[in-house]
Amino acid sequence: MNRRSFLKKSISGVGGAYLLTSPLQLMLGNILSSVFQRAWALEQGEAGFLDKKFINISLAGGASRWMFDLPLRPNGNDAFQYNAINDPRTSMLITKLTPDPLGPGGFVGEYATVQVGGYYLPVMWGGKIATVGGGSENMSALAQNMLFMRGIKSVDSHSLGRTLQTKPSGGVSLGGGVADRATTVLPALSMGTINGTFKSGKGIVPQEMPVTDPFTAAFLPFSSAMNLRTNAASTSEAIDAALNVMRAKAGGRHKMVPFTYEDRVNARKLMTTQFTNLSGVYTDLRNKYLNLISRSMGDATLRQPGVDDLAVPGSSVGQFRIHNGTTSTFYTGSNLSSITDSQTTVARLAEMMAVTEFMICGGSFSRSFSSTVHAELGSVGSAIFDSLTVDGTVGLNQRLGMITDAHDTGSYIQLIQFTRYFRAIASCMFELVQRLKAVPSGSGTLFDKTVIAINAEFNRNARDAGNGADHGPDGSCYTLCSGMIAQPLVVGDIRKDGGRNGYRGTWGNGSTMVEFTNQQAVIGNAASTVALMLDFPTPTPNNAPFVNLNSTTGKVVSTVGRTKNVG
Amino acid sequence: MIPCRSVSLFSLFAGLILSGCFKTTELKFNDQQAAVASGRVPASVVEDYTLVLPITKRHYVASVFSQVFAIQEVSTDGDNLRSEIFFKKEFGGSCDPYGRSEVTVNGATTDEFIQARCGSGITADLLAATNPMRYAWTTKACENNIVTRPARFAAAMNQVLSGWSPGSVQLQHKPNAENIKKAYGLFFQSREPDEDIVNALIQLGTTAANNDEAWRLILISLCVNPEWQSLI
Repeated sequence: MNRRSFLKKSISGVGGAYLLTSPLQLMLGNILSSVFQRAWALEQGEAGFLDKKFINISLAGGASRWMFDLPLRPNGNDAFQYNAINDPRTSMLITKLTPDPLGPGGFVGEYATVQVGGYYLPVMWGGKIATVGGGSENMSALAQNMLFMRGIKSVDSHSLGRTLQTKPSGGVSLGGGVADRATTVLPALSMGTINGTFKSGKGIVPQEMPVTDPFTAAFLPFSSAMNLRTNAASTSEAIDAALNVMRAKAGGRHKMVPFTYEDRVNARKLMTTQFTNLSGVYTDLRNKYLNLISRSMGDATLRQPGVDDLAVPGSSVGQFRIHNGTTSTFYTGSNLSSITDSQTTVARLAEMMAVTEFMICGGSFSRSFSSTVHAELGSVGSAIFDSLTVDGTVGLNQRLGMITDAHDTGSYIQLIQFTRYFRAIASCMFELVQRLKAVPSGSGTLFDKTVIAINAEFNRNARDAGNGADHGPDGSCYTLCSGMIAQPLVVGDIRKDGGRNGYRGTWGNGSTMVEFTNQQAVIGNAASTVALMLDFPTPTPNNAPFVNLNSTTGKVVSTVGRTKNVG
Repeated sequence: MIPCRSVSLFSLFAGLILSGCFKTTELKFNDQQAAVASGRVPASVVEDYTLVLPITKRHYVASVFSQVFAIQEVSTDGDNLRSEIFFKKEFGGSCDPYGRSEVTVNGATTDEFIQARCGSGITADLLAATNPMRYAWTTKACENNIVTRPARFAAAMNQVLSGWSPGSVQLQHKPNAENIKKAYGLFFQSREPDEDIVNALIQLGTTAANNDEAWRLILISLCVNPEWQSLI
């Protein structure tokens, strides 16, 4: 039995003895219990398991969200309009297909929902997600811990829009706020582009994690193969004692300097940790998540009736158009449902999940190495098309990357592409949540201390012709998954109409809200929500959070009333 | 000479500008107070962020190492200082070819670090900031120079103690307040250590078996101290 198991069992054992003891024994038991609990808490604290954790998944490119985490009719009967006014046949705003000889390709789209908790979510939440070991789980299980914020105003810029999601002001970023309070040895990590998205009050910079062998790269400077005199415990303690005196004096020179001593101590901790087979650990974890992605893309048993299981023959109309970055192409093959297979990927998803699981949960080291991970996902890679028409020429069995910046990607292809893209993300998130739930933290688990955010530079507004969706900064959404969320919760008001620039339909365009002084919700409101849950001062103090925390349960409760569609 | 009226006007403008600056600061504070007072934002979520710590870049850190341990020229030396400090982006610093510095080597002036300026994937200006990686590499460099390379250790000691040689048992070569201040100045240039710090370093020396080891411990403590890498 290791020390952690011993302490944990000791707490429960002493507590269980209460029922059988005399008052004196009860008192002794109480003292013993508190001693063990203190030791247990101390151990968790030292291991970084009492820190708040923030994992940010940035969907670079700005995928359309209405089939996943942007509920457009969360009450089931909200005012709603297809963007091709009340004609779902050419609308982008669909979550499901049904056969219809009059529709493009013989099908018609539909905005379908499924009831999960007290809300009606996009119908894919009624489907299955892949789980480890070849099994599956109802996707609705993931929704139990999710908060969907909608109707948020962002900006019409890929780079700035992405930055603002986690750094909505000139102050500290959301990841920076967590890192500033972290006790972990590598307070912050990043994967992918992070320009401008991170700022720490302490001057912490995230450790960049490469997709190839990141653990070895991260721990390389801490390898200490030499048997130096300074590595002896007694010598190290003597040096630390001298440094502590210097540290005590340092605050008088500049209040930030003591924080640099924290970094040195953290470096020293890692230098005395023995790391072996880090490459193998990463490979195993990455393969686990790659398998979940592969099955999300290619496993026919996970396909959902009416959503992505139908054999939809291709056509040279808008709904079948695909934008691959440089050209517009029409899918003209025999079965649109086959556009992804087991080789189809989501760039950086498996890698960021592997890094997050190991660095946050600690693997066999029983130590949390980091407290925040900022990862930028890429596009859907290696999709397969059995037939494409490019500039009048038909190509067979082509593999393409499908960009998420889906200006010229038609409604049918978006539905299938993004449903599987989000199914892969949901499957990986569900597995990560299970791992977080398996780590004790205080009286609960690490999941209770964690906020996983999904955001992008903007949502997308829908083209009337059903042949693509453009930047929708007026209707962004921001989704959180956390143990602090006890049931599905949808907040934020949207408009029935499409808003500016002639876009029509209920695509998520934000409405003014009484709770926000008759202004539309902005990213700052979402950021204040995250900051509140992670227990640090919001970088946007003039923007109120969407929720509060129940003082007894610690769970989120809405402060903005029931979500609604206006108009 | 500036006319008296101009001076008055200047003072008036300066006063207005200064009061404007303070007003901005105050306004920010009032905004936050107003946000709390409105009840829309809990008081616990408001905090002022004004923390900035200038941290030195890799050029400076490498320069200190090369001075303390008399490393002639990092670009041709090819030893641990390049791999542990100068090529590490954790230390920040630009690759700007115009950001040149010159050193004199064997009587001739040459570019400092010319070969090493932008190696190992460093392709852009990098923010110099604090993180554990930086101090892990620093610790490695310190140990490699002070513990495993006698010549480097000797070079540092000769700047602290005149007439020092390895294995010296002379009384004046024992750590004392005076020579510890010199050692401190190797890393904390133009700064005097606080008395408590001097005493702590003397105390550290007493834990060693001999003079050499005492000085190794003291130099290691100063070298791995992150404070000298801050521009304060």
